[in-house]
Amino acid sequence: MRLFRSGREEAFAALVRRHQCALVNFFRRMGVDTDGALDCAQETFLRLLRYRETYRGLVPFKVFLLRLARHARIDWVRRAARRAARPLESEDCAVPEEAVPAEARLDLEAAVAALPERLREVIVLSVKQGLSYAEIAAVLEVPIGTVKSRAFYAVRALREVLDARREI
Amino acid sequence: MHGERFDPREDSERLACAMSANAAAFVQGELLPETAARFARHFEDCAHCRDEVRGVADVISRLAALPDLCEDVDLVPRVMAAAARESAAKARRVRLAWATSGAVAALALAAAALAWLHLPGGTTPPVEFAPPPAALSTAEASGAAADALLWLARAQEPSGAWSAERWGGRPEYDVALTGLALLALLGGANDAVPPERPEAAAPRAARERACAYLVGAQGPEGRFGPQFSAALYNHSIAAVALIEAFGCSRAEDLRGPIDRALAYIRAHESPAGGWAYLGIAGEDPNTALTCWPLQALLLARALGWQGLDEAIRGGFAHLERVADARGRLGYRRAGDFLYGEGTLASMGALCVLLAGDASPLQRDVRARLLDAVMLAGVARKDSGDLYRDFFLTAALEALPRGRGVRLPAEVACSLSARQVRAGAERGSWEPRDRWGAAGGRVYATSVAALILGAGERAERLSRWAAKG
Repeated sequence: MRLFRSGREEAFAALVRRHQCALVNFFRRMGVDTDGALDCAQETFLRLLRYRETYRGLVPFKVFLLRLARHARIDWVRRAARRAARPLESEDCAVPEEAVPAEARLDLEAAVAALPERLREVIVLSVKQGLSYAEIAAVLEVPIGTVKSRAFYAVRALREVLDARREI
Repeated sequence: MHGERFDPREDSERLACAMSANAAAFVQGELLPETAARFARHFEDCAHCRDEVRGVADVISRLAALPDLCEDVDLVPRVMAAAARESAAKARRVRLAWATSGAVAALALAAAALAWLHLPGGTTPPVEFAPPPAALSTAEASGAAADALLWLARAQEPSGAWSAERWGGRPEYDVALTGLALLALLGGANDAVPPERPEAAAPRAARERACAYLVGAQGPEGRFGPQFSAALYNHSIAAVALIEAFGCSRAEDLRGPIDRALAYIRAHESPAGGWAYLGIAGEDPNTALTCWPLQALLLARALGWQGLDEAIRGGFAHLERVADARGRLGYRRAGDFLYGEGTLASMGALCVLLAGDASPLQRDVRARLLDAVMLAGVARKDSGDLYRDFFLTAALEALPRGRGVRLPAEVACSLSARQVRAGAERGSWEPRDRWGAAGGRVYATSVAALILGAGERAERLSRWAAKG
């Protein structure tokens, strides 16, 4: 983030290049469609520009970026719900179980997509984004023990799906 | 839904063993060491936990293997455009706020509005980024470089070598230090010492003696210097220096020694590519070493040597093996940063830039590596690690023009401020960084002079690369 304080356009572009794929994949894994994922990633980088002075280097840069990304996604989900003219019951944008075809439900991809959001974001941040439990706790702003329990339940849910497939 | 507090006892009906709740954290390396050890001892006797660990590991590995959902995306144009729009909107809001303020502010309003209207780009100013730092060009830095070269000339032994031991280094590295000193003398010797100074001819004479010493230090097998595990450092640094000397002078008597040196480098490449310490069974190639012979091969190819492509591909195969998703290069494998990240990334980037368009590195690996170095350059300060700064500066100077990163003048001034200003060692640098104990004052002074002369050297190398 020091480069932001020096205000270098080329440096900002390089940061976008470096993190864009990870961010888009994060949003896609969190149930956002492709266009929405691109919009969310763009919004995250704009927030990074807006809030660059608030970053003090106390957490790794990726944690700061993913915290911004998480909030950008929450706002996107709210806007999507308003556009769909239906009340938003929760911030959970997991693919509804009935929307997943039966055959796809047996697939690991679909199993991840069907996890409740609080479990899915832990497993995505941990396995697909490479964050430690402590870093995930900083992104989600929850205690590390909560991350540990969510990881446990997420893996158990995924195992149940895989075990069920083996039995079929 | 599941409770947020982690208490497996509440889940005892589904958990045959309460300890199995540790399985996910254990597999992901997230347990405290003592807890992990306790759990490892436990599941030796607990079939349920063993099964749990296997199952969790299976799920985690399958998850990790899931392909990315979006691999090829370029958000830079739209993000930059959106940032510019946002900046313009903010500017409009500021102007509106001024316009609606009271009559007391009328005068200031007029001035502000005029100022905004005269911004470049009319009413849509670009995102406000600071201009790139100025390139190094200060009389102080030039004087520092000249004093450094004159100290090197004074410190040279009659043999043409520089003695590591005499200046605080380790005696086995005389050849490498002579190579570094020769590179420094080549890098800035062209007009670095004003001709009116009585000792102006000293650097040229020192260069010639250094070349003669290195040629004499080559054994029948082609290696410069003694045989020991780190002999490739001596050999490769000497080879780079002689190849650059050839490029500057076109002295034909250097061709033979360079031919033999290149053959030695090729013969000692690891089967999978890259170079390792010599004579150690099972020793893997490492990046810090690999980048020196790779530089020698790339420079020689640029100057017309043939038959080096396979060895060069091997060197880049090593770099590709140790690159991670952030463009960092590991020491022996990805994520293995023995002495920090900056030096290795800069060394690799310099090799990539010397290879130009002929770099066999995958496009995305190359882009991430250069981005990493450029970002390090933007954020750089005088780190105090001369070796790291030498490679970072060399890579920054070799970046294509227009990427906007050059050696900041304040770094050069900071470097020259640490130079010895008086006495017998005037012009040298104290060997205070992590490599000072191995290389001593000759190392510190050579590398500092190379940093100060990096621009001139980069121009020369890029000319050769373009012709090659």
